[in-house]
Amino acid sequence: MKRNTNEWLDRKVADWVSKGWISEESQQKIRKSYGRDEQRNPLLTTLPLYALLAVIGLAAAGIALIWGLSQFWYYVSLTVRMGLACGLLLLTQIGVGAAMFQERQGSLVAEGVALVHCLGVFAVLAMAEQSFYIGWDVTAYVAVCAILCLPVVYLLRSIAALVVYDLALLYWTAAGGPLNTLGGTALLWIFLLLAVPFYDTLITMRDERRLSIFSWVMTITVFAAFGLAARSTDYIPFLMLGSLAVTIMLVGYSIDIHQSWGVPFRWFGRFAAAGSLLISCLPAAWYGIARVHAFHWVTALVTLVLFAVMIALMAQTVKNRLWGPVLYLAVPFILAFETILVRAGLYSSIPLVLSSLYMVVLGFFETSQGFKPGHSLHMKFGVVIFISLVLAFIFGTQFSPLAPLLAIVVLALIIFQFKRTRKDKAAAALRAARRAGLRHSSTRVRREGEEKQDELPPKETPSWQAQDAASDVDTLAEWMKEVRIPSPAELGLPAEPAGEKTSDDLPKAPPVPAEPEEAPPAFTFTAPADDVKKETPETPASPVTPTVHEKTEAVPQQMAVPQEPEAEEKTRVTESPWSSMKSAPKRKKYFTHSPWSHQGGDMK
Amino acid sequence: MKFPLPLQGFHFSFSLDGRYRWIFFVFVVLVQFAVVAYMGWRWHNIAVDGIPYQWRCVPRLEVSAFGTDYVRVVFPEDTTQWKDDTPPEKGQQIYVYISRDTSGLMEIQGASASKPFVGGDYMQATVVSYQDGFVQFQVGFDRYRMAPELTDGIYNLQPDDSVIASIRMKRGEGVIEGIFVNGIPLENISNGAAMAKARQEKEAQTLFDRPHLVDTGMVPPKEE
Repeated sequence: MKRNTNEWLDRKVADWVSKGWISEESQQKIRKSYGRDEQRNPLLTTLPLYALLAVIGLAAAGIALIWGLSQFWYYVSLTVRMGLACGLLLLTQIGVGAAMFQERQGSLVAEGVALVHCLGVFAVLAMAEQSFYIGWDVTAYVAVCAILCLPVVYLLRSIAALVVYDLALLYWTAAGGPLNTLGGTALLWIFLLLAVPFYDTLITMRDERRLSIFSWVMTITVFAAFGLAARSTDYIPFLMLGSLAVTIMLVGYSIDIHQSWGVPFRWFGRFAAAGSLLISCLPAAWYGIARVHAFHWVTALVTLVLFAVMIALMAQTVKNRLWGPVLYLAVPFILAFETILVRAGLYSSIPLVLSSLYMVVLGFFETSQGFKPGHSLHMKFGVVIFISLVLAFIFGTQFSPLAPLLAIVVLALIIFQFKRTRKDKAAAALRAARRAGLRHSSTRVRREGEEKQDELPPKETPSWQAQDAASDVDTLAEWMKEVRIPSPAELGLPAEPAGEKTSDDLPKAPPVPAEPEEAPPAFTFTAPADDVKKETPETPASPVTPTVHEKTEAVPQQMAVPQEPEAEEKTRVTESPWSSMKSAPKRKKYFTHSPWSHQGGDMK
Repeated sequence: MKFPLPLQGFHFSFSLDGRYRWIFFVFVVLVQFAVVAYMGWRWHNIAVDGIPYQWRCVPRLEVSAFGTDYVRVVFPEDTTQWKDDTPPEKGQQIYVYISRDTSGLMEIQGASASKPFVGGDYMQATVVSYQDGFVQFQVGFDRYRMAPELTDGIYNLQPDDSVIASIRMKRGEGVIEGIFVNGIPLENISNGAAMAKARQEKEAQTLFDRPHLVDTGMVPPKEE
């Protein structure tokens, strides 16, 4: 159906070009626009069935070929074997080079080429290892393959190759690779850091889709690698985990909140930080810390680096979003303080109590965040924190008098927050109801004005106003009496017939009384001197063309003597009364002294 | 669209869309070929320059869906005393100290997490288990490449046979040169080898050496 629509669109667009309605460039743009829509379709709907069958058939043929080769593989000399391996490697490298030459980086083709290259690297190294056999160390093999596959991630901007790289690293870690490698677990972090610059490459290339995949893949890989590496340690390195988690969370906070690729950093960081704090609520975790004999230089160094990065991130980019990051930033500091306490030989319950209380604070914070509209995940996360804490107390520790105390505190906080939220909601509803009663739209105000005018008899100038006007005329100076409000015609507005509504698209202005034709032009100040008065009639009728709003604002309202009161009465409200509302001007402060301020000074 | 950069102040770029990408690509190609070449060179270097050792072994057939071109070699002397104070972990790489006894066979002298001092020979291994100061280990060179039709000589091995693997050792890594059963190569005691030998002998015989179906001496004399 979509294909038919696209074909129809192709014909129509070509027809429009032939008729000269649109240019060739426009045709290209239009085709590109609906071609992009085609790319967004799911793969299975666009991939024809025969292509799937071809892939399956090729895979079966490949397996059959390998089986056939294996029957006389022994008789293939080592030279020929290596020739085959190098040929295969060269073929995949030519593919990478061709994709680069055709500027296909970051495309679907590049992903496929990168994937084939990775498979080629794995196959070639396996052939070499098996032919020149001195021992099959699968961890070393996977690590070497991962390192050799990494460049293609950058060369072709391939996220598929990055996934291969991450999976290889995870396998290497799970198989105990860091145990027998120089640097141990530190090497794992160096390997993971090698993929980090790819983030900057994607940012530079404005590739949002790959950025999202990158952030998810890398965040999951980092925490999974940490978990796998921690299996072989003597103790649970929750201080390092907390530092790493908060660092990742701060990186997420340094990304714009509206960008999708910041989400995994923030949420995984929160999870891991809360998890590390939860681990520190368990006494068993601290037994391991207390039993450590040697000083772990690498772990301490990495933790210090993470602390430095955290502080720098907080000071540089995250300082504007204060409370959430600061609350989580305190987690590694608390853990560090507790670790120092335990390592110093103070085997008290302070770490357990402190971690538990801060866990409650975190849970309370997240729960309270969840009451905001659109933050329901925070509410769930807060509930999970509370439940985890309770489960940790039940299963991870012996029953302590602290547990019911904490439970009471938690319940009290929840009830307090619930009542507060209900109260806030009621107040908000009341405010909304008031606001609804006072709501003034331009249409409503206009309609109400019309109705009132229809109901009320035509106004006459009140006697007090007439008297004031007369007294003003008597008291005003002569030059001030000649100041007049300009008419709409003088302001450049079309003369509006009586009874016809003003168009909405015109700039709205307060009603201005009409002027006689012989009146001086708008904004011309008539000086009292007679010689100046003789020169002014030469001034054009509309010297400047500012907007009506500007013109009317410039009119001195206090001196505007209504010359046509009937016209003013007939005018209707054409805008919201709040549209031209200005803030009250600041009053100048005059410092006065109280008459009693000096009294009592002699009493000292 | 404006893209906010995280880690501002720590900004580092690795964009390869510049002119240096081809240089980097050529470098990567060379490194990948170099790794393959190093694997071949390492094996060849050990096989040529390695110190020869003889170690008792037990060959076993390897079964695979795609077939194999080698036999698995198990070394029974795989337990020795642990020399360090810190016990090793399972899967950890250790160094097994070796020497020769009076008969010229390899002798295991102990294992440690560190290499021996200058002059001592060693081989790399991984820990299988550790108990009571003794460590069980496994070496990497556990395959011997053989033609598939010659592997059936393993069935002819007797418990009292002396099965020795000839090994070359260098920097802890080893390559098996051959397996000898009572001094005879394992390939030569297989049925396949016997059949091949017979076939070879048969092909080597001349027309006159071949036995005739009908002996001329058996032909009855013609009746005159």
